[in-house]
Amino acid sequence: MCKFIGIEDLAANALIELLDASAPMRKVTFRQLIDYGNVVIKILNDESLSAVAIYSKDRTESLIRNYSDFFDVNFDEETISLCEGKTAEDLRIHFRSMLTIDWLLAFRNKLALKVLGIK
Amino acid sequence: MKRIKDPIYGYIEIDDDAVKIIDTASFQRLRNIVQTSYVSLYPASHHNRFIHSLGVYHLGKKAIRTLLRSFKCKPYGFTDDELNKYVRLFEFACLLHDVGHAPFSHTGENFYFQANSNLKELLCDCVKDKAFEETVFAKNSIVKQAAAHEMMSAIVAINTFPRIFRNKKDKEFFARCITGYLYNSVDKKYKILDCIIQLLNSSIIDMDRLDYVIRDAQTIGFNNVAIDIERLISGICIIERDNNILLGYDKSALSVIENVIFAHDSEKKWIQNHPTILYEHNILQHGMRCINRDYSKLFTYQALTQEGIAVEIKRELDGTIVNDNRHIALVADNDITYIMKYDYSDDLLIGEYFSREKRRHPIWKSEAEYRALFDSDLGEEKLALLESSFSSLEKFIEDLHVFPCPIINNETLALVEQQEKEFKEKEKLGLISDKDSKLVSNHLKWIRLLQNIANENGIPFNFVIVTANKFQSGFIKPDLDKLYIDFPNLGLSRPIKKVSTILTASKDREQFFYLFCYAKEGVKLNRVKIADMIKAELFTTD
Repeated sequence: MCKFIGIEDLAANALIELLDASAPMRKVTFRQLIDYGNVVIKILNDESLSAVAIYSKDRTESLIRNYSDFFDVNFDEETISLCEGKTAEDLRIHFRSMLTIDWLLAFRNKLALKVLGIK
Repeated sequence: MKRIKDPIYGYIEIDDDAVKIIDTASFQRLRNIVQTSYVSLYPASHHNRFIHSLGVYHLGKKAIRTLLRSFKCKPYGFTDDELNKYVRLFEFACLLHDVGHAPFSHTGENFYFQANSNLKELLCDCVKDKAFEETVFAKNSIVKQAAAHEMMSAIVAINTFPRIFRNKKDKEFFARCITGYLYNSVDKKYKILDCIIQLLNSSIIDMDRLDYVIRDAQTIGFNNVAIDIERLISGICIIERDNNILLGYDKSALSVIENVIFAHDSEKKWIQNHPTILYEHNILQHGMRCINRDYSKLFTYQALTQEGIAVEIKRELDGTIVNDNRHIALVADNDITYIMKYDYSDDLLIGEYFSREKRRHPIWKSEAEYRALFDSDLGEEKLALLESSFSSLEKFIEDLHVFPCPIINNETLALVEQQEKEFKEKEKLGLISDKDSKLVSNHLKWIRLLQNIANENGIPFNFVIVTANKFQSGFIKPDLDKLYIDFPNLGLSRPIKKVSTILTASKDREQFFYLFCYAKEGVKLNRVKIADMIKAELFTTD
């Protein structure tokens, strides 16, 4: 069964890990998200969990419309930042709680975290 | 030249080259792709992508001819031959902009990404232009990627109608028109081409949106706003400011632009967000997920062609795995409903598509009822928590079952309890944090509450959650800053946001949810009591 992963799912899970890291970061670049997404998708597909990343201007519009209190998209700097006042716990409740264990492990896989610069 | 009668535009004139395209199997397929998912609520809304494509072609021809008036004063470096070429390609793009649409339009669209994992590569292989490839694979493509149906339409059109194109630059422009990928060049000629592209593909107003807003309203019978198409199109102009060249509209078109946004807002708010329509969409998506799992290649590019493709089928039937092969070509809505009817007749959710008698009903019947039940009693924080909890739960249970099953019942409860055990095991191994581990407990809390609600109200413990986007007006779209209105009598132009006195919607929570359940004869649901039970759960301490 195929799961569709949107940019908001990638951004949220990447930022959770970046915030929990030893040197917390509140920003992730588009490049990092693409690479992170590619690794996560590969891990899931290797586990026979069919997954597809959906990047589209409609999805971005949806991210901006539905989650503008969480994310700030800077098209010039090509980054997505966590808005002031929001925490990793907020991201967990809103974006991570939908993940079953296999999916969560993929988002937290060492190879995926390496792409984000987390050791 | 042919003339086709149309209820909106009177007559649509189609030149001979376009007639040859329309007569092909690839274009005729669009007669079997519904334009909207509204038929469950508005039985008359049976219009399809075929007539919509003709409508966009008609509007596109008018729009480009208006824009060409600007070139009489200033050629912008184009020769007459060049202009004619781009006009012709633009008109074909309008006609073919939806030729690759998935069955049931946007419901099936995301399956294109799964079935064609290299959709962007396929697109670039058709166009074979380096500049286009750089645009498609740019870093910002993660946020500005074309929709799946746009990419597939460009692929189908370029491969099926090669005679339209003389060279790869023709294909590039055509593909950019359909996908909305702009040149974003400093060269003035390319800025003009970007203006032409935006006539068909823009985030605020374009000929595609104009046709479907008007056509949807008319077929539904929801004509609440008058849209003066002639006034709007005659206002199209090119604006030069700050060394930039932009597509804009004359001040005379401002009222019509506002009306288009109002009309689209109405459609989003009262129709797209209606629980009946959302539920049917949910059933169809479930059906397509089942089909996509068992029918490999059904959503591939090849399945859209006249040649078609052999599709392998692997599914469970009465406890055994059945292997079969079918040849599918020009896949359309009727193929999906055929497969759903005959291959998934024992799936309860799919069964609801064919019989209303068996269908679940929403406990609250509109966003307004939802707000009446929940908004006033809960603070912003608790409301956000409630909405997030149900939205997450809806997505969490989708992945639990071996086969897709978005239903909350005893089986789901057992699976979530199993997940809780697995989370705790992984936490002990240090693979996940305790914070992540606790998230599942929240799902169990809500599932057990729903079980309790079912028991107290004498209805089956069998619920479906459907998350819906809360209404947000098109008037607060950030891209409105980029839509310019020209005041030639004042010698200036301004973004529409600065000159329109429209009210903007207040910033509010973005998503809410519907809860569907089976009705039981003789049982009248106490909706207020159910809402009170849900609200009370938010204030219980763990």
